Order: sequence, then C-alpha cells, then structure tokens
Amino acid sequence: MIFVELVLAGLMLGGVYALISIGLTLIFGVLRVVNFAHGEMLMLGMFAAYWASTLGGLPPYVTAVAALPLFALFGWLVYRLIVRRTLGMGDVVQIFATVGVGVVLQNAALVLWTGDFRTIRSGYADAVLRVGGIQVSVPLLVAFAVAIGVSGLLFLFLNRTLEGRAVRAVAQDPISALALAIDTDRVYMRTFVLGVCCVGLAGVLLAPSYPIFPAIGLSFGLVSYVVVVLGGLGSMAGALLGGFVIGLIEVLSGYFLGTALKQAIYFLIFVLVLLVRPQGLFGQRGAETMGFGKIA
Amino acid sequence: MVKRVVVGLVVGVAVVVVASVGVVVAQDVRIGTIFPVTGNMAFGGNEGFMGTEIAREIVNERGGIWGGKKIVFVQADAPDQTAATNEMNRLISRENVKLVVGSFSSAIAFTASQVAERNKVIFWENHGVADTIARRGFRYLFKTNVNATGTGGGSAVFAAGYLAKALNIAPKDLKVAVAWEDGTYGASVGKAAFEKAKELGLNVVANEGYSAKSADLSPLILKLKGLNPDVLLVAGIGQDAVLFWSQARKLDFNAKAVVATSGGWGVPDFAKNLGDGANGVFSSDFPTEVNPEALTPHARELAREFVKRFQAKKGTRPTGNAWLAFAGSMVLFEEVLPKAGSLDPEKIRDAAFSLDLPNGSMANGCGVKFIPHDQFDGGKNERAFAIVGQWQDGVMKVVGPDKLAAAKPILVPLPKWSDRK
Repeated sequence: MIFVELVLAGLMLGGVYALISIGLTLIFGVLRVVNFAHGEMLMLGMFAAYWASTLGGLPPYVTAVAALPLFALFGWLVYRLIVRRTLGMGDVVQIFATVGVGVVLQNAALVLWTGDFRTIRSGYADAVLRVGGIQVSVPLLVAFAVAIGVSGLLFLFLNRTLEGRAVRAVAQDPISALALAIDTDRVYMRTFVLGVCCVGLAGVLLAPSYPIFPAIGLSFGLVSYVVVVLGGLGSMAGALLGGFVIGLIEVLSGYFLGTALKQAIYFLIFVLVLLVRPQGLFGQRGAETMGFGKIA
Repeated sequence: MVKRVVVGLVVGVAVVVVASVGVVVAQDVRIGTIFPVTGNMAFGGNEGFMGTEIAREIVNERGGIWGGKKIVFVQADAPDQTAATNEMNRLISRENVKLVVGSFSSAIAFTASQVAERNKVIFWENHGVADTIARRGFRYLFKTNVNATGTGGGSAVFAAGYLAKALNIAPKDLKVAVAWEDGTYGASVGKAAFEKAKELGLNVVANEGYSAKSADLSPLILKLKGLNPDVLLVAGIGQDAVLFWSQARKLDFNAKAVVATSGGWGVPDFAKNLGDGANGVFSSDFPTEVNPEALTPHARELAREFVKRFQAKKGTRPTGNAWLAFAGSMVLFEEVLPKAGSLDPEKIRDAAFSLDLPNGSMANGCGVKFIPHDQFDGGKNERAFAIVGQWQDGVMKVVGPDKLAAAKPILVPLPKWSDRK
C-alpha cells in the first residue's frame, strides 16, 4: 500500500520536473544556449497565477491560457535584447548573460513582491482524489497530464509541421539551414519564445501546489538541469523520462534511505550517467558541441 | 565680474554645506547591520532589519545617545554565508565599523560573528538560535535571545508534559517523530528536540533531516505517515514549513499534535498561507506580545510603541523575529551604548556584562544577564526564554508558560484532515 503511494508520489513529482524541463531542453536543443534564468521564469509563471487568482479570482487553469501571450512577449523581449546578442559567442558569455537575467528577475521580484512566501488559497489547491485509501493531489495530476500533453504536442509540431521541420533543420545544421533559405534568426526567436511559454505554463500549473516566493526558481531550477542532462540535452522524450526517473528516485530514496540523502542519491546517479553515457538517455553523442542528429 | 561673484558665492556655499554635512556625519554613531534582505531568507531578514530600524528610530527621536548623537546604520545584505563573510569584511575594513547587529539566520550569525571575532569587532546577535553560535569561546559576541536548547528542547518538554496528559498517553508510550531542516538552524534545534525527547523517555520513532531547499517533501511526509506518530516535533526555517504542512494535508498525514520550534512555522505567512489548516499547531517560540502585566512600565511602553510603528510600516503585527530584533537592539542602544560611552569594543563588553535586568525588562518579556565569555555559552543572555504559542484563528497566541499565557490550548488532539472540511 505504502509502496503504491510512494510510486504515485514519485510519478507526480516526476511529472512536475518533466513539465519544467521541457522548455529548457527545447531552448538548448535548438539555440544551444543553457538558459540559467529558467528557474526565475518559472517563478514569474507562479506569480502570474498567484496574482491572477488573488486579484482577479482567476483559477490557474484560466491563467494558463490567458497569460500565454504575456509569456510570449516576455520571451521575445529577452531574446531580442539579450539572448540574440550572445548566440555563437562562447559559453561563458551565454552563461553570464542568462545568469544575469535570472539575478535581475529574482531581485526585481523581491523589490516588487517582497520575500514573503505565498500560496493560492482556494478549494482546488487542496483538492485530492481518493481511491481506496490512496490520495492524489488534483493540481499535481493536472500538471502530470499537461506535461505529457505538451511534450506530445511539441513532438507532433517538430515532426509533422513545416515550421517544426525548419526548427529541426536549424538544430541539426544552422549553416546549411541558412543556405536552404530558412530564416534561422526567426527560428531561434520562435523556439526561445516557445520555451519560455512552456516554463511559464509550468509555473502557472505548479502555483496551486507549492509556496510561491522570489527564490523558488533555485529549488526547481537545479533539478531541471539534472533532468535535462539525464534525459539528453535537446530531447523531449528524454525530458519526460528524465523527470519521471528523478521523481521516482527522489521519493523512493527519500523514503528508504533517508530524506537527507535523496538529493545526494540523484546527483550520484547523475554523475554515473555522465560517466557512462554522457549524451544522456536519449541524447546524441556530441550534442553539446555540434548539430543534433535529431531533436524531439 | 557679477558672474564671477555669483560663481564664487555658489562655490563658497557648496564648500560650507559639504563641510557641515561632513561634520554631521563625523558626529554620528555608525553601526553595521547584517541581514539577508535578498534571497530566500529575505522574508525574515527584512523583518529583522525592520525591528532593528524601529529601535534606531525611537532612540534617535528621543534625543539619540551620548548627548544628542544620532545612530546611523551601515547596511549589509547577506543572503548566504559566503556573502556574510564578504559583507562583514567590507563593513570592518572599508566602512571601519566597530559594532555589527544581526542577523535573522543562525547560519549568517555563525559566519558573520567569526569575521567580527577575528577583527575584534562586537557582534550583537538578536536572532540566531543555534547552540553552536555561542559555544566557540568568542570574546566579542553577544547573543540576546534564547538557544536551540530552549526552543527545541522546549518542544519536547511540552510534549512530555502538557500533551501527554491532554492526550491521555503515558510519556513512555507517546510516539514522537522529530523532523528538521538540515541547515545550521534546523539541525541545531532538531538535535535539541531529539535529545530532550530521549532524555524525557518519550518513544521517539523518527529523527529525520531534510533540505529546506527541497522543492518537494512528499517522501518525508509519506515516511512519517507510515510511522504514525502521536506527536510531531518539527523545525522548519521558511517556506519549507508551508510546503511541509500543505503536503501533509494533501497526503493525509495526521498527528494528534504538532509542536514546531518557531522558524517558518511561527511566522504570520504560515497562517496566511495555510488558512484554517494552521489552527492548532503549537510552536515553542520566541516571546512576542506577552501579557503586559509581566513587563516593566518602560518595557510596556516600548512594546506598545513597537507594535504601532511595525504595523504602520508593514501592515501586520510583528513576528517573533521582529520582536527579537527590536527588544535586543533596544538593550544595545538604550542600556549598553550609553554606559559604554564609545564604540570601543572593550568598553561595550564591560557595559554589557554590567547589565542585570530582571525578567520583563525587555520589550518581549525577557530579562538581561550575559554569561561571561570564559564560561559555557559565553556571551549568551541567560534570561532569554522560549514560550509556547499556538495558532488560533490565524493568530499565534501565547499558551504557556502560565504566567505569560494569553489563551488556553485548543484542538488537542488535532482533527484528521478528512474531518476538517
């Protein structure tokens, strides 16, 4: 009985991690920029849901749709003003630029909304599904379903649409793509915007389940990098599977070996994966330096 | 010619203004403050600073110290221990500060006081509860508040005494689980709770550490749920407390009573975020608004003034942390500095050790008597104590000890989550 509960909790947590990681892996896969402001963008999504709920009485599932244009605009601004200027400029420039964006966002949130932690206080935030003595949180179940849904849609987009094929072409070889008259700048911009929308959406959907405060991005940000590297940089399926693997490891090791050890355990596995299979579970070897054979 | 005269006048006036400002600055009493005002401890760091700032305002408005000199703060922000070291170095070597007040967090206090000690600068700590802070034989450290042994141990004492009786379970049969965040604060308080529970012969079924930075605590909650303790003793520092208790609700973990040790469980954000779910949770906590009868007339007046000003600034009643900051800083500004007559660290030490103020002298009800630096717990205020509070209708009410109590305990045992709707 407790084992079933543990596995369920692990899968729910894994869904959360997967949902957060999709945007990160998408941006890396195409732009080859590791977005270190990812956690802070998640935080903005959570605050969007919080304010929409507190001031406007909107449930997060309405905000999830209504706020997408805002996230898109925000993603576009960050791309135009910062990320675009760092493309092809070496890792250090990109790391410092995105870390800088993260620091600015976190401190802006502190100035605007203080360091107080907040939660969305509504019936649906505490809603649980009871099946034969086992409880599952409804908002987490929704996040879980959306994680699978979004990665499925992205997979379809990348493989079945012309625009998606252009994205993959740019990811594989930007020079050749340019030679084929693909507007790489536009593809980069759209991919970045899409990635930011994904993480914003994740923030909105997680807002009912976790405390919201300016530094929340740090807690989730770190684990999402682990998930993405484990699954393979740039791989949708990898982010999904990586999320579930880390979620399950965290819950099971936390229960059987002690909560203090749970992070140590998944970082240990992370190190082992890097040693044995540096490209991650679904990634292609050398993905971090050259084009991908395949994304999605 | 006229132009020249005008320019000359402007320059002259400017020189006089700059010089006079310079003179004013030179006469001010410059004191360093170090708090985590950004980062994930900012919620508490800002409250700590606000309490300290209100103390400064009151003292300055009432004529300052040393014949009209005003206290000014040189502020430092330390969101983590590395920043604490860097900022302390800056305060001491660049700003030439001789006295620093802090710091909300045990971890920051631990690190910052180390730099102060090395430079023979007084570190005046009003918050950090970790026992280890005052157990390093430091000569320039003063700690006005209660230790982890007081808050953590106090939670176990309350479980073995009041709760065992109220739940009608013999102490040796009372199943107790101890959970603590594994930072300097929680580890210290958790250890004190665990050791006291063992010493009192309680049936301790779990002693679990967790990271306060965890995004999710479901493994811990499920483990506790499997062990089914009667009483949970818990030390959380910030948002982890809200996460802990909201996940306990979602995963249906029920204990008959919960005794927290202040930290994240004792701040208004806890009740604000959890609503009715917070009601009934006990906290072995820092004294806040104690029964005014227990205060001296001066402390009573200060307490009233503090609440008024804090509410005007923040819109809420002050937390235990803000009370610590205010009460501890008032002792420094009103009692120690006037006696010391200068910022000379040796004179401040002598002045601090000369204090012998009975309970009720501080605005939060404590007294002041510092343990000599060459003794165990040297520099700690031996008259600081913890109280037991309980969340009742969103307000932390003091329920013990009896002479300070403002309310009676309720909701023992706690109703199950499924019965709470």
